[in-house]
Amino acid sequence: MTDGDRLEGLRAAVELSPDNHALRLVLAESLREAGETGDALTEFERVLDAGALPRDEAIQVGTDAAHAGRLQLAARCLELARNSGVIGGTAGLEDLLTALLADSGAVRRIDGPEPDDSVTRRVSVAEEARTFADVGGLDDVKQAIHRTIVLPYQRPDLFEHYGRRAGGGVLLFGPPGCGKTLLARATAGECGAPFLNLRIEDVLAPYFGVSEQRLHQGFDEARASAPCVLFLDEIDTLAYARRNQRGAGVGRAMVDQLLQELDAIGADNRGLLVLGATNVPWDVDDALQRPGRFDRVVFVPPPDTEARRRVLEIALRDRPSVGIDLDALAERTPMFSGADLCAVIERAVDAAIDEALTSGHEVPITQRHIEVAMRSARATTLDWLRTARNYTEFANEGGRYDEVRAYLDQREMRKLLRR
Amino acid sequence: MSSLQLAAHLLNVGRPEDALRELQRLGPDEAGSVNALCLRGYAHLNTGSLDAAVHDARAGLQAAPDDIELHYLLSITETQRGDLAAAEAAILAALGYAADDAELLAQYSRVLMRGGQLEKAGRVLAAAGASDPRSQEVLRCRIDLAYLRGDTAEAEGLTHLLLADDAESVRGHQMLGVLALERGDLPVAETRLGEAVRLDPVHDEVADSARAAQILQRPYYWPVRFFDRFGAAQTWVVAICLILGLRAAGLTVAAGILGLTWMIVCAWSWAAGSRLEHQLR
Repeated sequence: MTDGDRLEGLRAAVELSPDNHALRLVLAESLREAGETGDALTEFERVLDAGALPRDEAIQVGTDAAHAGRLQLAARCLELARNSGVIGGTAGLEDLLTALLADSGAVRRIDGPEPDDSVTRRVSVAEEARTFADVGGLDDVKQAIHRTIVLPYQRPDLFEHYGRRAGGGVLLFGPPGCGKTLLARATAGECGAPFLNLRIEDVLAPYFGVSEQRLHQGFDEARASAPCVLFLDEIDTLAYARRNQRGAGVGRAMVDQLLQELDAIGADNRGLLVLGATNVPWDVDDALQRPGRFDRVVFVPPPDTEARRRVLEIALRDRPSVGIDLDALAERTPMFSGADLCAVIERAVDAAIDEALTSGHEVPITQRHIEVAMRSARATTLDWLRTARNYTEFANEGGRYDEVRAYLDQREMRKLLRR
Repeated sequence: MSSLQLAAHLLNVGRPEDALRELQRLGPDEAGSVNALCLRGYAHLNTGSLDAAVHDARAGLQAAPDDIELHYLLSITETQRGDLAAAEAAILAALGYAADDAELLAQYSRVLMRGGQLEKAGRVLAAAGASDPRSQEVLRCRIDLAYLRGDTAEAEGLTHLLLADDAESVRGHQMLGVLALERGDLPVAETRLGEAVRLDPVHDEVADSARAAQILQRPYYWPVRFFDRFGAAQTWVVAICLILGLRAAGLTVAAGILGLTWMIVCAWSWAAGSRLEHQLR
């Protein structure tokens, strides 16, 4: 039986039984496989009209529809994906639609110009084109963020029904160089919300009271842009534990101010998601971690094998290399941070350059150079993980760090952390 | 916001590496200023680069020989390096400008304690206490001195004073934990050391002590607790004397039973000790 015969047979069957959506779906898929995208989309649309399009198909159909210029259908598919909690590809489809709408002259979202005296650094939507698809691996973390942060933005009706609003505070923590900042940006991209970055350099001022004023201004700017994501990177520098502070520096006053902003005293934080990131949660003031403030904590572990492979791939991109087994290298580097992996590649590059200088001709980076680099390589996250183990063991009030403890209690992890 | 102010803030919030990075951005004039050298010295001290810290302190003192903070920094760093003569010279130079400063006197007492001059350290601390009776630094030194003298009761009393003033003092909780561990009070040791780890989790040895206090409370580890409490050497001597004494008195059966029991306890203790080590790893 040829493809043509099969399609004819399916068409005839669907005509005979137009309400058989499963059969129509098979026809649509067969048409797509046969390259008849236009007809396939028409059939998919009918299945969608009948409410029978599987959630797993929504992104693919939406993308095909967008490419075929059927933006209405693409938008409906996007809505279905969001409403059914699909993570992978939702933000990508939205970006594609945004771009196509912009090309067609329609305006979907406008980022206002940044005022000259702005405290926060606004990252434009175009610049902030990151989504979870740009973050390799870390599926569990993405899943957790999607459920707790992204969905309330995408399904406000559902969450409001249960008395839960979008926004609030979420603290990302994990070893340095493991993608917290990237995840924060990707979260903003997934939410489709403006991303404002507030750093200690933007806030700290030498004059009495000015630092707190700037912090307040940063929050005001974010509230004015709501719904939006306000990102406080290295939040421990803004909210260092008051018990560790000596003297009358700006630190204590800044913590007090930050608490006021998070409690929204005299203001409205609706639609404002405050994302904090830190390597040292034990140095963040305890008061910040109480309910209503940063009451959700997300652990960002060192990259998993897939993420490591991806980092290595990117580090080797545009460099002459041959015969490097990236899969094996990713397997051999557990607990290496992104920075550690880049350092391995840099050392391998140095070894290749040395060889080129000695031999007089250019040589590509090979597995041999990687082996040389690996001799002095070590995972810098291990010290952090040991400290985290100490902390979570003795500071896990209310099971706040259960997730980290489970991660650290894994057999392989215990072996790695053994001194 | 200048790099110098930002570096000072970063140092204050426990990020000496970042402070150093920020100080590297200073122009040549500002980088050579006494303020910058002092900050860099402290940043190096906090990252454990003691030689670099000494270098910065000395460079700063060349430009400002009467800078008390730099003398103080030099003294702390030299104490950590183990050069007590240099540490003493530095702190005496600082005291030459502010003889009644409690913090300087406390640092001097630390140098003396490190050198084993406990009596002299006590006198210096008395002067420091008279100068500033509420100084926590002086109180911490008094606790250390009492502990070094073996006066655990006074060390404990002073530590309670410290905690009354600052309930989240890591040193206070740690000291009470160590004292409880030494007298075999494992539940208190676990609570106090656990609190010290919660407040400052970077010290693995304190965390290990807290874990040991937790594990040792299990019934299986009673022989380890027994030896820890009474001392291995003393217990051995008493056991052997008892066994030999019973034999000499003609009670060979009793001596045999005691000898056998003793061997079982020793084997159990050895197995429990190994298991404890394994669990702590």
